[in-house]
Amino acid sequence: MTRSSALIDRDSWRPYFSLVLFCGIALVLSVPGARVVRDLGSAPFLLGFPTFFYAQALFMGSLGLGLGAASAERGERGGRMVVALGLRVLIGQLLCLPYLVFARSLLPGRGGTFALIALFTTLVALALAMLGRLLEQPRRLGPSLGFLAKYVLFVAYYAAPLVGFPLFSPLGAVRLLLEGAAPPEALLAFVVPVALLAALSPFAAGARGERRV
Amino acid sequence: MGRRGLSSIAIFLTFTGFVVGSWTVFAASTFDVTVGLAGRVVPGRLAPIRLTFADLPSGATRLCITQHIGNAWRGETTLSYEIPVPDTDCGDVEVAIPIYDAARPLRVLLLSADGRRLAERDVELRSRTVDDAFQVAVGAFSVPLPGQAASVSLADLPKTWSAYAAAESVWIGRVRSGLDAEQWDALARWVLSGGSLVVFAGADLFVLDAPRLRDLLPILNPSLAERGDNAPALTGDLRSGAITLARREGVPWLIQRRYGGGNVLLVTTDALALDAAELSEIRSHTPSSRGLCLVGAASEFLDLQPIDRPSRWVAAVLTSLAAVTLPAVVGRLGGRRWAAPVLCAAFAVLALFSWIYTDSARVGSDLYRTNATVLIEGSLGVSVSSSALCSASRQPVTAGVGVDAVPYEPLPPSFEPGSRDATYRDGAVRITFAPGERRVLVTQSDAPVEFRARLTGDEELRLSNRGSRVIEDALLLVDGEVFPLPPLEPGEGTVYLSDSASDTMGPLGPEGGPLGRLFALVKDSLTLERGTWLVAGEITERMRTDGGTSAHARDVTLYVVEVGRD
Repeated sequence: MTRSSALIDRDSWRPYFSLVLFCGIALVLSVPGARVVRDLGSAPFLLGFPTFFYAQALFMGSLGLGLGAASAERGERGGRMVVALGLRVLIGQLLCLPYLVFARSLLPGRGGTFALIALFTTLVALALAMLGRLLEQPRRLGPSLGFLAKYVLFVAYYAAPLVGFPLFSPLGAVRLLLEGAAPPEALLAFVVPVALLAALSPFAAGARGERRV
Repeated sequence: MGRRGLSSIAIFLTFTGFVVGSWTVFAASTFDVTVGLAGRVVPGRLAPIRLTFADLPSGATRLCITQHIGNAWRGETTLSYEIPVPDTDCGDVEVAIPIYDAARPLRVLLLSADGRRLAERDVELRSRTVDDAFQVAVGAFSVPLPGQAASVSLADLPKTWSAYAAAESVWIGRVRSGLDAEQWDALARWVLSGGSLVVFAGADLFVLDAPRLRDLLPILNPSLAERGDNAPALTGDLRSGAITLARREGVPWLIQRRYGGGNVLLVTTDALALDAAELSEIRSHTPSSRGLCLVGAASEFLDLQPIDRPSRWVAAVLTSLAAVTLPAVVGRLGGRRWAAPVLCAAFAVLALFSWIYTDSARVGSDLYRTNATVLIEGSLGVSVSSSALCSASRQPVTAGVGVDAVPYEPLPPSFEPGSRDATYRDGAVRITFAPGERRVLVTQSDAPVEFRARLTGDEELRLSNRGSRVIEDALLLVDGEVFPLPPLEPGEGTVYLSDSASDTMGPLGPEGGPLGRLFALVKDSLTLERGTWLVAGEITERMRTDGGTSAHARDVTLYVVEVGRD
């Protein structure tokens, strides 16, 4: 296996590091501050906010963008590129596994919700990896414009739906899943990443990449 | 006749059939409802509801008693209690439910298994309401009882001890027939919990006589004697602790005895042989019933219940390990074929560490509950319990809270509309908790007698623990003197009292702990300074998940057992 086809290398580990670091910090913040029941009455915020899951949704998306850009740099294409990106996203999920296991003690009895959130964030990361791969094609947009477009779309996807249709934002969808969404709503939350993935994958797989040396 | 005419007839016949059918069902399913002790209710206290059935429809499975409480200013809420109907189509059901608000009628619905209404009754409460506890008279008296006494017939005398919550004292005068065993047991349990019973038993003792009455009376071996004025009077051997409050013609006339947390007064002459002055004298000697209130204790204990959660420090260590492992692995192996497997293996180890650390003791709960329970035991047992609950969830949580009996919940002066809705069914109250919300439920129920104790000499205490657990904390009180006891093992046993008696009542369990505080409260309420008592306590923890809602319950249980003396 050549260096360019390795799943993780010295050039592409930074998006993983952001994921690991910020999800870890979010996990620390998710632990309730209350020691005894009396504390809950005096400071409701000590109930503990599930920051970890929102951080995971945010940084898995960011990881996807970074992985897409790295894939474009490597000049990967075709089905092999799709498989490689899928495996890299799964590595990202695996890096969150210690946190996810820890978080089960914060929200007990929600195994199904955790699995759904993991699946959802995987799909989001994969869809954004495809987007990153497309926008970072050297011949499609200039490097600056590609970078800018990538993050404008990222912010738009995460923030804009929160105003009217929170379900279509990964953050809104995670909130909904945590609150125990009804099956139709949960299904609707998956529509956007699945649709994005279905729409972008053929283009991303067919796009020509150029290896930057 | 045209098509329109035929249609009109068909509609008319259908409508008539529906009306007649409905009427038939409603008419067939007759039941009567009587509410209140002697027809009176005191808001904020339990009251008996008796439902008498005749010709129940075959589909009737349960009764739903609904109270609409509050108003637009205070907030409105609905409480409902569902109870199963008897298997036979005739009979009666008695249940004690709390009356909160007399402004609106009580609605009683007869329901089928699928929730269909088969019959309904509205019971007006406003005219039955009194502000405070009242004296209850059973049977006949020579003159009307002093004060605002309410008369209740023998047939209407409740068979559930918590139904006497509105009674200040119960006076049993001349009756044509005796009370049945259930009524005596209910009265005995009520007295055990702090009630006050006055029994008039002169020449007519044979009418009243029952094993439970013998257990209640302050005298042993009762027999009839003639006083100096030729009036018949009941005499016998005074029980240990019984005191004669008044005499007539040299014969004890009014005798008092502690029975659990309450008092029994025996008037040794017939209820029809007394004048108004004598009745007033008896009343002046009759203590008011005192209910044990554990609401404050349960809330206080809940405040101190620890939150189950993992440590932030461990989360920080986990984050640090993960943040160090990633660059370390990639820096050394990055770009090689096995960089990814090694990284995955390293994080799998971290996940395993995380799994081992977050065991059940560190898993958070949606709901925290502290039950403060006092079991008062003599020849019968009663349980008085308060459950304080708090939601630790950020989402509204609906939980089935298991309770021993229909609960009473102290309501705040004002509340959000619908926020206090609750449904009691099959031994559980269904409550929806807002994030961080606290609730308190109070129950009073029968309890099995787990302990029996007898002081056979100055130094020897014979004990019987019918439970299956060892009770670690126990002490014996003899007229206020404290004797520490070893853990109470299941089965029979004899304890020789140590010389380490203390003049002041020491704490039970660790100093400042819930058991000690509960003991201090009960000691004052039940006046344990007098008499001989076995006091034991335990704290147990339970974890339970109900429909996705996890609850951590802590039970602080105090056993107060009346000790017999040879």
